[in-house]
Parts: sequence; structure tokens; C-alpha cells
Amino acid sequence: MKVKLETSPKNEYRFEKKMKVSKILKELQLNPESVMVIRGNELLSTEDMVDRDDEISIRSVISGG
Amino acid sequence: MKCIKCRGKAQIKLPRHNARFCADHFREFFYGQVEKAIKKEKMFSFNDKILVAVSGGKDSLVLWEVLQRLGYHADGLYIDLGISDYSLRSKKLCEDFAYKRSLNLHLLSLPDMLGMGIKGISRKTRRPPCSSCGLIKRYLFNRFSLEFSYQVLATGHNLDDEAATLLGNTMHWQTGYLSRQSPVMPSNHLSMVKKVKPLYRLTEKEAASFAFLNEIDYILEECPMATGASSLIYKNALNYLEQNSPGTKQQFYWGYLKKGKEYFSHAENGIDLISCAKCHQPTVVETCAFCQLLEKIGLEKITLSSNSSTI
Repeated sequence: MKVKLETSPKNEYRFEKKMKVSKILKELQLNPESVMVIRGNELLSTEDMVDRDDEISIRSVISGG
Repeated sequence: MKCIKCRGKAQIKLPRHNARFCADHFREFFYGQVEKAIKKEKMFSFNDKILVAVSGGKDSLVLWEVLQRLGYHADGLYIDLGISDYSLRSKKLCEDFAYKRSLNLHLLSLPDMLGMGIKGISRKTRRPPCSSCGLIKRYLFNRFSLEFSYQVLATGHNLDDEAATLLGNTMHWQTGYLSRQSPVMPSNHLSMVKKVKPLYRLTEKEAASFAFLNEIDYILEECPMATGASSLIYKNALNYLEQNSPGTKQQFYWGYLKKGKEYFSHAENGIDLISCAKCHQPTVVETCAFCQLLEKIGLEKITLSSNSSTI
């Protein structure tokens, strides 16, 4: 699967197997409270599975100065 | 994972409420929390004219969307801070948002009014950019609300913003700030408008999720001037606690409002607001901080006129 990281710094990752969102976030050392995981026009929760052929985006939700 | 309301596929999991919602029931939850905040804190009524401070970020645009959908009379005010491309993009997002929904957006521009943007002001006044920005925005939003007859000024501060501010103020024992932190700041001077934060019951992630599900375009990048801001460090620390103990942010902030705030009320006593000798806005010294800032950049006073993009 392709994972586009829209957080700072922007980056792209590939995982070669089906994985749970919680596992992907753990691998990327991201806190589920600080990001949204998007597949197409739907939001994914930490319990959702992402297939090998899927493409997802991870977007930071934190802002402020 | 199933929605606890309809058993359809859930898109959002809210561990702090032990809940999971599909898109429609998440929207219902979100509107409900805003309505609860407005009623519980007596923020405003359907007769009030509300000004929403919009920045192009998710929170302020989500707030404007929710207020107009709930049937409130809410207009927007965007202040162009002159931060190069960032300001151009955020202004365009606000204009597009207002245009698509036939809403009234007022526009003010620092480069037009003061002859320079935040960076120039910061250099001339030797104040950090975020400090100048905060001072200018607080002043202009308040004065604009009064001069254009708005009864209430609404900002998009969410639970994460408020919890991070509370953590910062507690870490530094800012007792004066602690005594004033509240979802509602009543008007305590003739020239001070009532300020409210209707999103204080909702987290940053919930606001971002609402924006995504309602196709609200907002500026994704962080303000270039805010890099390394301490509020971001506090937010990350609180999210670490939240991940390990869901409900921490809510317990910290709501608990403070219910049980902690009263212990700091004395810190507010003895501060009398007077009118600025130059602009008549509320201040604790003869000339307010904004007029002092104007002096430093070589200006005497400013006049506000809305470059309104009314549809």
C-alpha cells in the first residue's frame, strides 16, 4: 500500500502487506490523536484494515501558534 | 467497527466518549456539542448578530459552517496579516467558503492599514511575531465588532487549544491568565465586546474530521511564523497523555472550569479597565498597547472600513 504523509515533513511510504491503521501509525510513530487517516472520501479509524493495493493519506490535525 | 447509533460502518472512534460514529451520526454529535456549549454557557441567542473571526484554518471555518447551519446570524471577519503566500492562500479559502454559502465576509488588511505586514511590524516594534499578531488581532476583532454593531465575537478555539493554554498558564503560574480563561469572556467595559468559544467541547481531531466530512477546504500548512510555538509542544504532550488515558484533555479543562478556576478569581481583582486616551478602547494604562504599537511604526491612528465581500 502507498501511504502519503501530509504531516510535516511530507513523505511517502510503502508497505507490502495488508495492515490495520493502528499498526501503520505505530510503524510511523504517529499519535492517532494528532492525525486523520483518509482513504478516498472516507475517514479510517484505528481499527480499520488497509489492503495491500490501497492508497491512504495521513493528515496532521494540529495547528496553532 | 460499527456506529453506536445505526450499526452502519463507523468512520470515527471517540475513545473519550467510548463512542463510534458513522459520518451522519458524527455530524449530529458535533452539532449537538456546539449547541450544548452555546446553551450551557449562555453564549448568544438567535437575535444576536455574531462576528466569527476566520483565519482560513479548519476551526474557524468549521465554526462558521456550524453556526450558519444552526440558523444563527453569523458574518465573518478575515484579517490579512501580510504573511506573503500564506496570507494570500488563507484569504482565498475564506472568500471561496463565503461565496459558496452566500455568507457575508468582511476583510481587513494590515499592509493596507498599517503599511506593513506582521514581519515588518515585529521588526519595527521589536516584539516577537506571534505577540504582535495576537495583540493586533485582539484589538481589531474587538473594535470592528463594536463599530459594525456585532453583539458577540466568536472564535474557533477548540478543546485542544484551551487545554494547551491551561497547561502553559499552569506551568508558568500565570494566575491572572488562569482567572480569565473561559469559554465566555463577558463584556466588562463599554468598549469591549463579549467573546465566546463554541468549539470548546470538541477536540482538534473532531474539528478536522468535521471539516473533511463536510468538504470544507482549509489551509493545511502551519503559519510560517508559528514554527516552534510552545502551544504545539503542549498539544503534543497532552495528546500523548490522551492516547494513554482517553478523556485527559476534557477532564483537565472542563475540570478546571468546574473546580479549579474559582481558586484564581482573586488574581483578577483590582484590575480596572479604563478607556485609551487615543482610541477609547479598553486598557489598563493611559495609552493602550495597540496605540503604543502604532506610535512605534510611525502612525497616529487608524480608521476601520470593511472591504466587505458580501454576496
